[in-house]
Amino acid sequence: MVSTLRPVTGDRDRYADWLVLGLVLIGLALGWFLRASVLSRTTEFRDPNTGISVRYPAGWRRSSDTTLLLRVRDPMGGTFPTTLELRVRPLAPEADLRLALEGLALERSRTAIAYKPLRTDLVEVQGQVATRRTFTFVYTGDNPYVEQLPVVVVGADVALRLDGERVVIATLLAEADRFDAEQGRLRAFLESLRQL
Amino acid sequence: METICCVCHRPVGPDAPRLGGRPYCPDHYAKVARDRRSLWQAGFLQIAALIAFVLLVALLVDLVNPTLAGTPLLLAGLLLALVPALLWMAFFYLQDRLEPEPKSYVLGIFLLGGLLAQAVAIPVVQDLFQVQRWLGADPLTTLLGSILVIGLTQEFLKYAAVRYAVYPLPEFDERVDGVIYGTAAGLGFATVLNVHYVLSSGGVDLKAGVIRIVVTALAQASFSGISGYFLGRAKFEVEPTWWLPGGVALAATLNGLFTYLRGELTTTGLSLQGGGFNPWPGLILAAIVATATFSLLFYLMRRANRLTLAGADIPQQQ
Repeated sequence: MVSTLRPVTGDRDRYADWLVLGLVLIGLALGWFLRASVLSRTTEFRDPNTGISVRYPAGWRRSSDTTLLLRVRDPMGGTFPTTLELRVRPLAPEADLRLALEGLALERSRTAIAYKPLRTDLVEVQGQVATRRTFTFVYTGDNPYVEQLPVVVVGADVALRLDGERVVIATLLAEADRFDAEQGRLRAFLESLRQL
Repeated sequence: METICCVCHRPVGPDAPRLGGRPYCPDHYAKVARDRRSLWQAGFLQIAALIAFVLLVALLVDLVNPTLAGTPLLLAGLLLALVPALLWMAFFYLQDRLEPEPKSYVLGIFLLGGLLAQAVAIPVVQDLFQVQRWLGADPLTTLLGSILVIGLTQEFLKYAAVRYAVYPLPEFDERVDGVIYGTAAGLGFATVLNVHYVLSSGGVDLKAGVIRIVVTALAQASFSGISGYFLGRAKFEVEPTWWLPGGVALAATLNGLFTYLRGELTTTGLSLQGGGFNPWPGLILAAIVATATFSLLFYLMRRANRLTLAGADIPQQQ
């Protein structure tokens, strides 16, 4: 058998190269699918007292607060972990949804540093018209002994009629550079609201 | 058409020795079936030296109880991160005096492995896939994600470093060169991962840090040694088309499995006495994996060499 000047393994190596590349691409695609599947998992929260259920991202930590129905935080968050909150407030049937948001804004302005409302607009949630207020404040950390730079937090309160006498307010809080990317979480949070 | 050596492409006579139908010059035919015993001895010595290094650092930390912080802590961590590579170079050049290997190629593959780690692997795994956000959701996710994302990314890049940089060259003239260059790529890769670990942590606890550094070095070198073995066989024997993809898949699976097991072994239950993380089982696992891997590769290489010399079990090239 005579060998040519070109290595005889050329063709076989080429096919193997393509197979390796295909294997890696398929594997990474499966990995991406796995990632999406895990990140989209949710946990249900049910409150019989208010008759509300909502789904929030699985793995997020719940914390207790007597002023809130629900607060969950992203455990992988940075200086300020992305937070979703849920409140139920009484509101007369004839009152505008902005009134509920005004009351909440007043509370925030008293407790948050450099609180500033940005804009108020109307959005559609589950076929209903809801009112959304976007705001910002500065977060300096909960522990005064930990050295950290303050961060700007952007938030959005969305008020939605629950029934004739009550309004539910869903809130997203996130660091300013992550706020836009986290909007999807608020949308999913709102779309999962159900009455029991 | 004249007959040429399939490794160096020098003309050879019509009665040149052949393997798998491919002709070799006398020099390269002799090299193909060499055992390179000193190389394997150096490999096992290096594993032992790394374990000893960890024990030495742990002992020093316990005795001296250094209170490093800030820049000194960072520098100490960086120095520790470089030790596995420096040890390997020392052992490699020591045994290399007896059996010369192009040092510039080995160093080049080492650097290429490191470059691919920094430029591709870390951004893909941490920035694109963001494994830190979802990999720990549950044991099955951890296992599958470790294999499909971390394992495949890391092992493909190390494989590619050897496959496209040195595999086609005449200097890749023995089966064992696959393991040598694979190991070099793995250690370069591990060195950058370790440096990144130290820098992103702003300095590490010296005892836990040195364990993690050595574990990473042993693991990365072992798994890329496996894909290097597959490359070495592919160049000098007629292997099926699935051989190389199978090697990458095997290395990636073992990489992911190791990542998963290390996490399971090093995470302990919380208690009033502390706990939560114990790195020592990870080191034991890495030492076992490295020793077992190199032992198996050594055995397989010797077996292939014996078959080569016997002129048996080599299918004819079609």
